[in-house]
Amino acid sequence: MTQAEILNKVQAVIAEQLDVEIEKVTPPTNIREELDADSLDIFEVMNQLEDDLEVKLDPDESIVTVQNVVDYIEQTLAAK
Amino acid sequence: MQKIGLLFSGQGSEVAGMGLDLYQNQPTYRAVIDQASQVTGLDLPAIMQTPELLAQTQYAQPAIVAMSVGIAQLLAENNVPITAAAGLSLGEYSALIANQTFSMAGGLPLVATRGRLMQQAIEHQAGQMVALIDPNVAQVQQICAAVQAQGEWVAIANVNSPKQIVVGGTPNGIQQFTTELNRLAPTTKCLSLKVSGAFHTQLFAETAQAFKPFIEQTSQNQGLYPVISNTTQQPFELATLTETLVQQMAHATHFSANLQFLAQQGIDVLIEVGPGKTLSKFARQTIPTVERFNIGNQKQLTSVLAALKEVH
Repeated sequence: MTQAEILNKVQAVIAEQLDVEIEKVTPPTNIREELDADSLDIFEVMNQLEDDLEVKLDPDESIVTVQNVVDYIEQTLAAK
Repeated sequence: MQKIGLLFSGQGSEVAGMGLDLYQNQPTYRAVIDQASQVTGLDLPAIMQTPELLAQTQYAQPAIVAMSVGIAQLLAENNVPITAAAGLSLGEYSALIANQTFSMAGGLPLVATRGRLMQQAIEHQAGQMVALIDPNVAQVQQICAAVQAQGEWVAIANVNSPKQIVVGGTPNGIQQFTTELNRLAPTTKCLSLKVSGAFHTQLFAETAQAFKPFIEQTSQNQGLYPVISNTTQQPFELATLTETLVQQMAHATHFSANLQFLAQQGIDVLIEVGPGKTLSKFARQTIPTVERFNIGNQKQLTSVLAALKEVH
Protein backbone atom coordinates (compact mmCIF):
# COMPACT_ATOMS: atom_id res chain seq x y z
CA MET A 1 0.00 0.00 0.00
CA THR A 2 1.20 3.51 -0.72
CA GLN A 3 1.17 6.27 1.90
CA ALA A 4 -1.74 7.88 0.07
CA GLU A 5 -3.77 4.67 0.16
CA ILE A 6 -3.08 4.21 3.86
CA LEU A 7 -4.04 7.84 4.52
CA ASN A 8 -7.34 7.40 2.67
CA LYS A 9 -8.14 4.30 4.69
CA VAL A 10 -7.18 5.92 8.01
CA GLN A 11 -9.25 9.03 7.23
CA ALA A 12 -12.29 6.94 6.35
CA VAL A 13 -12.06 4.78 9.47
CA ILE A 14 -11.50 7.74 11.83
CA ALA A 15 -14.39 9.67 10.28
CA GLU A 16 -16.69 6.69 10.69
CA GLN A 17 -15.59 5.63 14.18
CA LEU A 18 -15.56 9.14 15.64
CA ASP A 19 -18.66 10.33 13.80
CA VAL A 20 -16.90 13.35 12.27
CA GLU A 21 -16.84 14.71 8.74
CA ILE A 22 -13.98 13.30 6.69
CA GLU A 23 -12.85 16.83 5.74
CA LYS A 24 -11.94 17.36 9.40
CA VAL A 25 -9.55 14.39 9.35
CA THR A 26 -6.33 15.76 7.84
CA PRO A 27 -2.75 14.52 8.39
CA PRO A 28 -1.86 17.15 11.05
CA THR A 29 -5.18 16.73 12.92
CA ASN A 30 -4.69 15.95 16.62
CA ILE A 31 -7.01 12.99 17.15
CA ARG A 32 -7.64 13.39 20.88
CA GLU A 33 -7.85 17.15 21.09
CA GLU A 34 -9.33 18.21 17.77
CA LEU A 35 -11.61 15.22 17.21
CA ASP A 36 -12.56 14.83 20.86
CA ALA A 37 -11.49 11.18 21.00
CA ASP A 38 -10.72 9.28 24.19
CA SER A 39 -8.48 6.23 24.63
CA LEU A 40 -11.37 3.89 23.91
CA ASP A 41 -12.18 5.70 20.68
CA ILE A 42 -8.58 5.31 19.54
CA PHE A 43 -8.70 1.62 20.45
CA GLU A 44 -11.79 1.22 18.29
CA VAL A 45 -10.15 3.01 15.38
CA MET A 46 -7.14 0.70 15.66
CA ASN A 47 -9.37 -2.35 15.93
CA GLN A 48 -11.19 -1.41 12.73
CA LEU A 49 -7.90 -0.72 10.92
CA GLU A 50 -6.59 -4.10 12.07
CA ASP A 51 -9.61 -5.82 10.57
CA ASP A 52 -9.52 -3.85 7.34
CA LEU A 53 -5.77 -4.04 6.75
CA GLU A 54 -5.20 -7.50 8.26
CA VAL A 55 -2.38 -6.31 10.45
CA LYS A 56 -1.78 -6.36 14.21
CA LEU A 57 -1.54 -2.86 15.68
CA ASP A 58 -0.35 -2.09 19.21
CA PRO A 59 0.12 1.66 19.23
CA ASP A 60 1.52 3.51 22.23
CA GLU A 61 0.94 7.02 23.51
CA SER A 62 3.17 8.51 20.78
CA ILE A 63 0.20 8.42 18.39
CA VAL A 64 -1.15 11.96 18.40
CA THR A 65 -1.98 13.00 14.84
CA VAL A 66 -3.58 11.30 11.85
CA GLN A 67 -0.16 11.31 10.18
CA ASN A 68 1.27 9.42 13.19
CA VAL A 69 -1.28 6.66 12.57
CA VAL A 70 -0.38 6.51 8.88
CA ASP A 71 3.37 6.35 9.63
CA TYR A 72 2.83 3.72 12.29
CA ILE A 73 0.79 1.52 9.91
CA GLU A 74 3.34 1.98 7.13
CA GLN A 75 6.14 0.83 9.44
CA THR A 76 4.09 -2.10 10.72
CA LEU A 77 3.19 -3.24 7.19
CA ALA A 78 6.87 -2.94 6.13
CA ALA A 79 7.95 -5.11 9.07
CA LYS A 80 5.32 -7.77 8.35
CA MET B 1 -43.57 13.29 12.40
CA GLN B 2 -40.32 12.13 13.87
CA LYS B 3 -40.18 10.25 17.15
CA ILE B 4 -37.44 11.67 19.29
CA GLY B 5 -35.65 9.82 22.08
CA LEU B 6 -33.23 11.24 24.63
CA LEU B 7 -30.02 9.58 25.83
CA PHE B 8 -28.61 10.74 29.19
CA SER B 9 -24.82 10.61 29.62
CA GLY B 10 -23.26 8.47 32.33
CA GLN B 11 -20.27 9.06 34.56
CA GLY B 12 -16.93 9.28 32.76
CA SER B 13 -18.19 11.92 30.36
CA GLU B 14 -17.52 14.82 32.76
CA VAL B 15 -14.99 17.43 31.76
CA ALA B 16 -14.03 20.69 33.47
CA GLY B 17 -15.86 23.67 31.99
CA MET B 18 -18.84 21.58 30.98
CA GLY B 19 -22.02 23.54 30.40
CA LEU B 20 -20.38 26.87 31.18
CA ASP B 21 -21.60 28.60 28.00
CA LEU B 22 -25.12 27.31 28.59
CA TYR B 23 -24.97 28.60 32.16
CA GLN B 24 -23.98 32.03 30.87
CA ASN B 25 -26.45 32.20 27.96
CA GLN B 26 -29.55 30.24 28.94
CA PRO B 27 -31.63 31.44 31.90
CA THR B 28 -33.64 28.19 32.00
CA TYR B 29 -30.48 26.10 32.16
CA ARG B 30 -28.99 28.38 34.80
CA ALA B 31 -32.15 28.09 36.89
CA VAL B 32 -31.89 24.27 36.84
CA ILE B 33 -28.22 24.32 37.90
CA ASP B 34 -28.87 26.86 40.63
CA GLN B 35 -31.84 24.90 41.95
CA ALA B 36 -29.74 21.72 41.88
CA SER B 37 -27.02 23.50 43.87
CA GLN B 38 -29.55 24.71 46.38
CA VAL B 39 -31.22 21.33 47.01
CA THR B 40 -27.91 19.45 47.27
CA GLY B 41 -26.00 22.10 49.21
CA LEU B 42 -23.22 21.89 46.60
CA ASP B 43 -21.71 24.69 44.55
CA LEU B 44 -22.29 22.96 41.20
CA PRO B 45 -21.06 25.79 38.92
CA ALA B 46 -17.74 25.70 40.81
CA ILE B 47 -17.59 21.88 40.75
CA MET B 48 -18.21 21.86 36.99
CA GLN B 49 -15.15 24.05 36.43
CA THR B 50 -12.76 22.33 38.82
CA PRO B 51 -11.02 19.16 37.58
CA GLU B 52 -10.03 18.02 41.11
CA LEU B 53 -13.64 18.13 42.27
CA LEU B 54 -15.12 16.61 39.11
CA ALA B 55 -12.67 13.72 39.48
CA GLN B 56 -14.52 12.68 42.65
CA THR B 57 -17.55 10.44 42.17
CA GLN B 58 -19.46 12.26 44.93
CA TYR B 59 -19.29 15.54 43.00
CA ALA B 60 -19.27 14.24 39.43
CA GLN B 61 -22.62 12.47 39.84
CA PRO B 62 -24.79 15.45 40.84
CA ALA B 63 -22.90 17.68 38.38
CA ILE B 64 -23.59 15.43 35.38
CA VAL B 65 -27.22 14.91 36.33
CA ALA B 66 -27.84 18.63 36.85
CA MET B 67 -26.28 19.46 33.48
CA SER B 68 -28.26 16.79 31.62
CA VAL B 69 -31.55 17.80 33.24
CA GLY B 70 -30.80 21.43 32.41
CA ILE B 71 -30.33 20.60 28.72
CA ALA B 72 -33.48 18.46 28.67
CA GLN B 73 -35.29 21.47 30.14
CA LEU B 74 -33.99 23.63 27.26
CA LEU B 75 -35.42 21.11 24.77
CA ALA B 76 -38.76 21.23 26.61
CA GLU B 77 -38.66 25.02 26.52
CA ASN B 78 -38.24 24.79 22.73
CA ASN B 79 -41.22 22.41 22.46
CA VAL B 80 -39.18 19.42 21.33
CA PRO B 81 -41.54 16.45 21.89
CA ILE B 82 -39.92 13.48 23.61
CA THR B 83 -41.27 9.97 23.04
CA ALA B 84 -38.94 7.97 25.30
CA ALA B 85 -35.51 8.03 26.91
CA ALA B 86 -32.68 5.92 28.24
CA GLY B 87 -29.60 6.77 30.27
CA LEU B 88 -26.45 4.91 31.09
CA SER B 89 -26.18 4.08 34.79
CA LEU B 90 -26.11 7.50 36.48
CA GLY B 91 -27.85 8.83 33.36
CA GLU B 92 -30.97 6.90 34.37
CA TYR B 93 -31.38 9.33 37.27
CA SER B 94 -31.08 12.28 34.89
CA ALA B 95 -33.76 10.68 32.72
CA LEU B 96 -36.04 9.97 35.70
CA ILE B 97 -35.74 13.59 36.87
CA ALA B 98 -36.20 14.98 33.35
CA ASN B 99 -39.38 12.93 32.87
CA GLN B 100 -40.56 14.03 36.35
CA THR B 101 -40.61 10.60 37.99
CA PHE B 102 -38.44 12.33 40.60
CA SER B 103 -38.69 16.04 41.32
CA MET B 104 -35.56 18.18 41.31
CA ALA B 105 -35.93 18.62 45.08
CA GLY B 106 -36.17 14.86 45.60
CA GLY B 107 -33.98 13.49 42.80
CA LEU B 108 -30.88 15.69 43.05
CA PRO B 109 -30.23 15.00 46.76
CA LEU B 110 -30.83 11.30 45.99
CA VAL B 111 -28.12 11.43 43.31
CA ALA B 112 -25.77 13.25 45.70
CA THR B 113 -26.36 10.49 48.26
CA ARG B 114 -25.72 7.83 45.62
CA GLY B 115 -22.46 9.52 44.69
CA ARG B 116 -21.40 9.74 48.33
CA LEU B 117 -22.21 6.09 49.07
CA MET B 118 -20.40 4.91 45.94
CA GLN B 119 -17.38 7.04 46.81
CA GLN B 120 -17.27 5.43 50.28
CA ALA B 121 -17.59 1.99 48.69
CA ILE B 122 -14.61 2.45 46.38
CA GLU B 123 -12.51 3.85 49.23
CA HIS B 124 -13.43 0.74 51.23
CA GLN B 125 -12.94 -1.88 48.51
CA ALA B 126 -10.84 -1.34 45.41
CA GLY B 127 -12.12 -2.52 42.07
CA GLN B 128 -11.08 -2.23 38.46
CA MET B 129 -12.77 -2.27 35.09
CA VAL B 130 -11.54 -3.10 31.60
CA ALA B 131 -13.23 -2.33 28.30
CA LEU B 132 -13.12 -5.02 25.61
CA ILE B 133 -13.40 -4.11 21.95
CA ASP B 134 -15.26 -6.55 19.72
CA PRO B 135 -15.11 -9.46 22.18
CA ASN B 136 -16.59 -12.93 22.02
CA VAL B 137 -19.20 -12.54 24.78
CA ALA B 138 -19.63 -16.26 25.45
CA GLN B 139 -15.89 -16.63 25.87
CA VAL B 140 -15.75 -13.61 28.21
CA GLN B 141 -18.49 -15.18 30.35
CA GLN B 142 -16.58 -18.45 30.51
CA ILE B 143 -13.41 -16.70 31.64
CA CYS B 144 -15.35 -14.76 34.28
CA ALA B 145 -16.83 -18.02 35.57
CA ALA B 146 -13.38 -19.63 35.71
CA VAL B 147 -11.94 -16.70 37.67
CA GLN B 148 -14.93 -16.72 40.04
CA ALA B 149 -14.34 -20.41 40.66
CA GLN B 150 -10.90 -19.49 41.97
CA GLY B 151 -12.43 -17.17 44.55
CA GLU B 152 -12.00 -13.76 42.90
CA TRP B 153 -14.91 -11.68 41.68
CA VAL B 154 -15.11 -10.59 38.05
CA ALA B 155 -18.16 -10.17 35.82
CA ILE B 156 -19.56 -8.36 32.80
CA ALA B 157 -20.62 -4.92 34.05
CA ASN B 158 -21.69 -3.03 30.92
CA VAL B 159 -22.96 -4.30 27.59
CA ASN B 160 -22.63 -1.00 25.76
CA SER B 161 -22.83 -1.98 22.10
CA PRO B 162 -22.14 -5.00 19.91
CA LYS B 163 -18.56 -3.69 19.74
CA GLN B 164 -17.92 -2.85 23.38
CA ILE B 165 -18.42 -4.52 26.74
CA VAL B 166 -16.86 -3.69 30.10
CA VAL B 167 -15.79 -6.22 32.71
CA GLY B 168 -15.39 -5.28 36.37
CA GLY B 169 -14.02 -7.01 39.42
CA THR B 170 -11.46 -7.11 42.21
CA PRO B 171 -7.93 -6.06 41.16
CA ASN B 172 -6.74 -9.69 41.39
CA GLY B 173 -9.80 -10.90 39.52
CA ILE B 174 -9.26 -8.42 36.71
CA GLN B 175 -5.60 -9.39 36.48
CA GLN B 176 -6.48 -13.07 36.19
CA PHE B 177 -9.17 -12.23 33.69
CA THR B 178 -6.92 -10.22 31.37
CA THR B 179 -4.15 -12.84 31.55
CA GLU B 180 -6.60 -15.54 30.54
CA LEU B 181 -8.20 -13.38 27.85
CA ASN B 182 -4.78 -12.61 26.33
CA ARG B 183 -4.04 -16.32 26.25
CA LEU B 184 -7.36 -17.43 24.72
CA ALA B 185 -8.14 -14.42 22.54
CA PRO B 186 -4.93 -12.51 21.85
CA THR B 187 -6.57 -10.32 19.20
CA THR B 188 -9.26 -8.91 21.53
CA LYS B 189 -8.28 -5.40 22.54
CA CYS B 190 -8.54 -4.75 26.25
CA LEU B 191 -8.18 -1.33 27.87
CA SER B 192 -8.06 -0.53 31.60
CA LEU B 193 -10.53 2.19 32.50
CA LYS B 194 -9.50 5.01 34.81
CA VAL B 195 -11.99 4.14 37.53
CA SER B 196 -11.34 3.03 41.10
CA GLY B 197 -14.41 0.83 41.55
CA ALA B 198 -16.02 -2.12 39.81
CA PHE B 199 -19.37 -0.46 39.19
CA HIS B 200 -22.37 -2.64 38.33
CA THR B 201 -20.92 -5.78 39.85
CA GLN B 202 -21.61 -7.65 43.07
CA LEU B 203 -18.87 -5.59 44.73
CA PHE B 204 -21.59 -2.93 45.04
CA ALA B 205 -24.28 -5.23 46.49
CA GLU B 206 -23.94 -3.89 50.06
CA THR B 207 -23.87 -0.29 48.89
CA ALA B 208 -27.01 -0.91 46.85
CA GLN B 209 -28.82 -2.15 49.97
CA ALA B 210 -27.56 0.83 51.95
CA PHE B 211 -28.92 3.12 49.23
CA LYS B 212 -32.36 1.47 49.16
CA PRO B 213 -33.99 3.43 52.03
CA PHE B 214 -32.97 6.70 50.40
CA ILE B 215 -34.80 5.76 47.18
CA GLU B 216 -37.82 4.60 49.19
CA GLN B 217 -37.98 7.94 50.99
CA THR B 218 -37.90 9.94 47.75
CA SER B 219 -41.33 10.66 46.32
CA GLN B 220 -41.97 8.98 42.95
CA ASN B 221 -44.51 9.90 40.29
CA GLN B 222 -45.70 8.55 36.96
CA GLY B 223 -43.20 9.87 34.39
CA LEU B 224 -44.12 12.00 31.37
CA TYR B 225 -42.56 9.48 28.97
CA PRO B 226 -41.08 6.00 29.38
CA VAL B 227 -37.45 5.54 30.44
CA ILE B 228 -35.96 2.19 29.46
CA SER B 229 -34.07 0.49 32.30
CA ASN B 230 -30.46 -0.68 31.95
CA THR B 231 -31.28 -3.52 34.34
CA THR B 232 -34.67 -4.95 33.31
CA GLN B 233 -34.28 -3.79 29.68
CA GLN B 234 -37.94 -2.73 29.85
CA PRO B 235 -39.51 0.65 30.74
CA PHE B 236 -39.23 1.59 34.42
CA GLU B 237 -42.49 1.00 36.27
CA LEU B 238 -43.56 2.98 39.27
CA ALA B 239 -44.46 -0.12 41.31
CA THR B 240 -40.95 -1.60 40.99
CA LEU B 241 -38.90 1.59 40.62
CA THR B 242 -37.06 1.33 43.94
CA GLU B 243 -36.17 -2.32 43.47
CA THR B 244 -34.97 -1.77 39.89
CA LEU B 245 -32.72 1.13 40.93
CA VAL B 246 -31.30 -0.92 43.83
CA GLN B 247 -30.57 -3.77 41.43
CA GLN B 248 -29.01 -1.38 38.93
CA MET B 249 -26.10 -0.51 41.21
CA ALA B 250 -24.83 -4.09 41.52
CA HIS B 251 -25.91 -5.61 38.20
CA ALA B 252 -24.79 -5.29 34.60
CA THR B 253 -26.15 -2.47 32.46
CA HIS B 254 -27.56 -3.41 29.05
CA PHE B 255 -27.49 -0.12 27.20
CA SER B 256 -27.18 -1.83 23.84
CA ALA B 257 -30.49 -3.60 24.47
CA ASN B 258 -32.05 -0.28 25.52
CA LEU B 259 -31.07 1.23 22.18
CA GLN B 260 -32.60 -1.70 20.32
CA PHE B 261 -35.78 -1.29 22.36
CA LEU B 262 -35.98 2.41 21.44
CA ALA B 263 -35.48 1.62 17.75
CA GLN B 264 -38.20 -1.04 17.92
CA GLN B 265 -40.55 1.56 19.40
CA GLY B 266 -40.09 3.59 16.23
CA ILE B 267 -37.68 6.19 17.61
CA ASP B 268 -35.88 7.66 14.60
CA VAL B 269 -33.93 10.53 16.18
CA LEU B 270 -31.78 10.23 19.30
CA ILE B 271 -30.40 13.26 21.14
CA GLU B 272 -27.69 12.67 23.73
CA VAL B 273 -27.85 15.30 26.47
CA GLY B 274 -24.95 15.83 28.85
CA PRO B 275 -21.22 16.36 28.72
CA GLY B 276 -20.27 13.49 26.41
CA LYS B 277 -21.01 11.82 23.11
CA THR B 278 -20.23 8.26 24.15
CA LEU B 279 -23.86 7.17 24.04
CA SER B 280 -24.20 8.50 20.49
CA LYS B 281 -21.29 6.26 19.56
CA PHE B 282 -22.98 3.24 21.14
CA ALA B 283 -26.11 4.17 19.17
CA ARG B 284 -24.14 4.24 15.93
CA GLN B 285 -22.65 0.84 16.73
CA THR B 286 -25.99 -0.68 17.78
CA ILE B 287 -28.70 0.97 15.64
CA PRO B 288 -26.82 2.74 12.81
CA THR B 289 -29.91 3.84 10.87
CA VAL B 290 -31.26 6.04 13.69
CA GLU B 291 -30.24 9.68 13.36
CA ARG B 292 -28.02 10.95 16.20
CA PHE B 293 -27.28 14.31 17.79
CA ASN B 294 -25.56 15.34 20.99
CA ILE B 295 -25.96 18.51 23.02
CA GLY B 296 -23.35 19.55 25.55
CA ASN B 297 -22.87 23.23 24.72
CA GLN B 298 -24.58 26.28 23.23
CA LYS B 299 -23.31 25.68 19.69
CA GLN B 300 -24.63 22.12 19.63
CA LEU B 301 -27.95 23.24 21.11
CA THR B 302 -28.39 25.84 18.36
CA SER B 303 -27.51 23.48 15.54
CA VAL B 304 -29.69 20.63 16.85
CA LEU B 305 -32.71 22.91 17.29
CA ALA B 306 -32.18 24.22 13.73
CA ALA B 307 -31.88 20.68 12.35
CA LEU B 308 -35.07 19.57 14.13
CA LYS B 309 -37.01 22.58 12.80
CA GLU B 310 -35.99 21.80 9.24
CA VAL B 311 -37.52 18.37 9.54
CA HIS B 312 -40.79 19.38 11.21
